[in-house]
Amino acid sequence: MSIFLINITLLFGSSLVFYSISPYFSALGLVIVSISSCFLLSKIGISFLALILLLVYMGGMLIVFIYSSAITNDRFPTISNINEITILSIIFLFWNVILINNNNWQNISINNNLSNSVSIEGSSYIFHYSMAPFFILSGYILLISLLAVLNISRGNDDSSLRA
Amino acid sequence: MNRNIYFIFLSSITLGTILALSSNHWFLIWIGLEINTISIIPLILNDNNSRSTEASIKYFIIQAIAAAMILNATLINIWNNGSWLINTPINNISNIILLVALFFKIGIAPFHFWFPEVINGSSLINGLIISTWQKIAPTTIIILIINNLNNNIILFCSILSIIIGAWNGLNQTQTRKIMAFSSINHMGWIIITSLYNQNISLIMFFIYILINSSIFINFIINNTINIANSNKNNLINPWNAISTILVLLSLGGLPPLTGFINKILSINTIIINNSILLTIPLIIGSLISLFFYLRISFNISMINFPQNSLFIVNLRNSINNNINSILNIFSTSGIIILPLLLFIF
Repeated sequence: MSIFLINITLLFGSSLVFYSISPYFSALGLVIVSISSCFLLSKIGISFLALILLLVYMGGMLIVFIYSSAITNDRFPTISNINEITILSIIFLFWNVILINNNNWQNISINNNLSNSVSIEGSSYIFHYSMAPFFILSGYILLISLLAVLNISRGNDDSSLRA
Repeated sequence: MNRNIYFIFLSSITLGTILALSSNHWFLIWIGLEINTISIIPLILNDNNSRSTEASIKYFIIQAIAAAMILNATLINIWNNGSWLINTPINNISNIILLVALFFKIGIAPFHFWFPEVINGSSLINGLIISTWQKIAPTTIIILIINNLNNNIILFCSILSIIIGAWNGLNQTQTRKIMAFSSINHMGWIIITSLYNQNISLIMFFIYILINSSIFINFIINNTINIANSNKNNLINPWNAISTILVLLSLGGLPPLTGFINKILSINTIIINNSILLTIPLIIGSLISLFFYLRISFNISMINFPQNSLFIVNLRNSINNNINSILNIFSTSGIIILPLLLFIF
């Protein structure tokens, strides 16, 4: 149950990273992501890795990120879209509360092994004998997405793909 | 668009639908639906006006949200059940969300608001693809898992969509929007019959696709985008006028024509299963929608719209010179194959 909650905060933090306009809120999201990752790692049993992660990631890289984003300038800076983020967070919270209330928590966390958290037991018979069709189709859908995106943004000079 | 790229996208649409139809695994169904969505967006954007752009954006956002909801609901179901197969019972939350997402994809009320706007914004050919081919995969998924779904939501949404499709079509003059609302109406009939007998529902779906394609191709031939445009058939191509009228009445469900198959099979199935009270909103919706089909038919041949003083009358048309002959003949006299359909399905 606690691993599930930590995963929820991970998701929330990463949504905060890409959904906020100002880079400071994105950095806040990165802090939330790193702290929840540390909790997750400690729950699994590798607390040393959690310590290293916190020191290097949050104590080193995020400081540099915040410093460099404080130096860069925007011509018309937008401060925050905190209303949108609040509404999204409330919807996200309701969704997870509904999930937590509707699940059977009895047999999920017996041991604190890594293999229990990431186990895909029973999934070896998903595809009857091979995963090859799955991989080929994933490659095909990526190709189709590429063709569609290149076709849609063709001839526009202000799209992201400037060739 | 380059012809090769157009062909790749068209074949990807068929690949996506066939993949979604023929898989037992939830993930592959999601992949099929996503291939379908992504590869139709450049087709809608092929016409370079702003209405098509708006229609494509609306279509993409709605279908992407629905596909994400399907993935989320099925993952919750897999977490609870342990099985990735589609014929396992679905728990309550996944049931509601999966059904809502599939209704978004088909265009059943109250999730239908995107549908007339998208059909009206795209060209007639793209409207044909969106209203016939794109409905095959979600409808078949509903029919495949109908035993595990919540019946109350299906009943409520189907009856609501029959009535909304009939009622909202009354005030329209653009033929694409009229066809969109008639599509909502017919999908309501098909989904509500699938609660009782899935084979009958597939027959109705098949007949509906053929008649709908016939009407769309009749509109494409003459570029009929509103009811006023439908009148020019009377002078240019009277045979096409007659066939359009007959196919429209067939869509409305009048007896000796093919569209009556839908109504008679559905009402027969519902009455056999003792849900006689259910047929009342179905028949009321069908009557209201028949009125606006009759209105188009009336405007095709019974009145003269104002037109230019110089017009060209085609003296060389005949009933054999129509590219839509097969579908038109099927849509008017195809009721003869009803026993064959009942045998096949």
